[in-house]
Amino acid sequence: MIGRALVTSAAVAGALALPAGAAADTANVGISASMFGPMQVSVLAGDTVAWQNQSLRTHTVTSRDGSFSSPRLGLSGSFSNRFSTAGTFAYYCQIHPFMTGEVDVYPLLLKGPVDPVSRGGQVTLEGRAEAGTSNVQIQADSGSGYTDVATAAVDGTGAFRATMPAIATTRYRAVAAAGASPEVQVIVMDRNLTVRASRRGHKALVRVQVSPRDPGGIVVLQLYRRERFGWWPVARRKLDASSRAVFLAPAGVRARAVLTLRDGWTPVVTSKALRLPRRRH
Amino acid sequence: MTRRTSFSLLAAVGVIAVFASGAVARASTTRTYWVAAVPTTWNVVPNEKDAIGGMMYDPAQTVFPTVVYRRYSAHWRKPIANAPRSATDGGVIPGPLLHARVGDRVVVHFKNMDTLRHDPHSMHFHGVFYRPSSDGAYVPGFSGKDADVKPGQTWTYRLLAAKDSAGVWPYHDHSPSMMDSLAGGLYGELSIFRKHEKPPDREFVVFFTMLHGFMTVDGRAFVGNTPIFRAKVGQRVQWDVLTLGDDFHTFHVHGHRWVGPGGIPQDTKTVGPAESFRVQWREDNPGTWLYHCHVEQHMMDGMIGLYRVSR
Repeated sequence: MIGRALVTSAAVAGALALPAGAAADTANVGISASMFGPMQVSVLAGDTVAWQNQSLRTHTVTSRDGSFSSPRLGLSGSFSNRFSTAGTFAYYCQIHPFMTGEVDVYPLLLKGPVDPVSRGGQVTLEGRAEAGTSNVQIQADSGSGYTDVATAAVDGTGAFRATMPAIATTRYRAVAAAGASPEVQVIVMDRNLTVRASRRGHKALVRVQVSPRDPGGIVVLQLYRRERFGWWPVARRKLDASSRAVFLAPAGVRARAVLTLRDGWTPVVTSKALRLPRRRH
Repeated sequence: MTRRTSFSLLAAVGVIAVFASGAVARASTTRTYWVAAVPTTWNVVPNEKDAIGGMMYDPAQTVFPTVVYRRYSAHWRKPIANAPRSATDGGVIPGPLLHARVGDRVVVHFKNMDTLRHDPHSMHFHGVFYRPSSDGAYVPGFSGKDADVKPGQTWTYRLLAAKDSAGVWPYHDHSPSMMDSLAGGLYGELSIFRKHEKPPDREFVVFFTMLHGFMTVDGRAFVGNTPIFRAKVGQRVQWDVLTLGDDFHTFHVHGHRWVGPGGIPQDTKTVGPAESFRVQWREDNPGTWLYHCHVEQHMMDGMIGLYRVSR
């Protein structure tokens, strides 16, 4: 199922005879009853993708361009394919053609921090390059196009690494003669959320202030609910001209506020949780 | 042909009612709905976890932009709730819960406000009587504008809840963009009561679909995210069960049984693509219960939720 089959990297250097300067990885893709998970994987040229059927249904892994096709895979049946050249490889299941997936093969791969980092901290980017690459350029785009920000040396295993200050939310990529890596967005958390609560009749009034100011930014009020097994969004507001938002919430519950991206869901900064005041008896 | 006759008869009854002022005791009711296809950003797993499976999800895996049916006030002035919170937990997947009684005319004014994909859309209704111009199903060279409503344009679907329309029925996009739209949540429910039927105290919508790679109920996956249905002991509850897509599902509620065809008690019932059914019971078993699809893989992939009965 999706999520359970996150891409896991198993270094197999030494087990295979590989050209010096490159260690190939294997990306794992699960096959459930009705989908490939994850549906898309990004791998380095030379890497292997391994599929395993985790469902009771029989499936195949068949490329659109005819470059590879598995036999029929029953429960726990597996199949793998090594991708030696960069490109986009779409595949599907011949038995259930609505099941589709994609392998994107790059000459360079780049990874950054998944969670937002604090402004003033450091951003560490790590990547791998295909065989024969000695140096890569790290490029950054904070909104006005890509410019070079660092050069990273590729070590004997094909890995490279670069560290830079976290100033603002930025897209990064790695570039070498053979091409570019996919983009990596690093979100820099440059705002603070202050949440205050007071009693308002039988309810609680929750005031959220975001600084530096972010008028029009989206703030979500979340309450901790046992029946929701965690934090649950109950209201969404746009910050006013003074970068404030006000919510009415039930008294006595645990609450927190989340500043999100414009999609209203993806968290950028989460406030500390607080217990809303109880109603007076 | 019989249906067509009854349609004209009803129309005639309506005309008599107007002109003979009270000579006919009960004319047909017209129910008017305003619906639009609108973009939204949907989250399949808002609490970011499969609490039973012990698995965390990142919003990057569960949040996606899509196009849904949204109910509006007259002339699409402002969006209003698609259904009572008790029926679908307040979301916009599925689309508006449209109600009618046998004998009612249902007028659905539809507007395509798809500013996300700029695709044509339509509404195609199961279970009711309509003319081809209200079918909403695209056939090149045959169908009209009803089946291919372009962005910014409108169409009015005229339906009749006929004698054989009592029950729950899906409606969905059947335009040229149907396959993309269905995969993104462009569907909803028609719930039709018999002419003199007393509506239940609680109506719960269980719309099983695969959405964004998850197995969902009303567009949400895993306990806490899927609707939490609530009832009190003594209430008559009705479960509306529907599905669209490529899979069969087996609807199951813990701690309860209902009477199926031939008077046989059931606690699990199968529903296939575009099929639908409703079951009812008088609530007598308080507690926090599970409802889920009993296809094990679907349950593990998210088709499971809570049903809470209080005294």
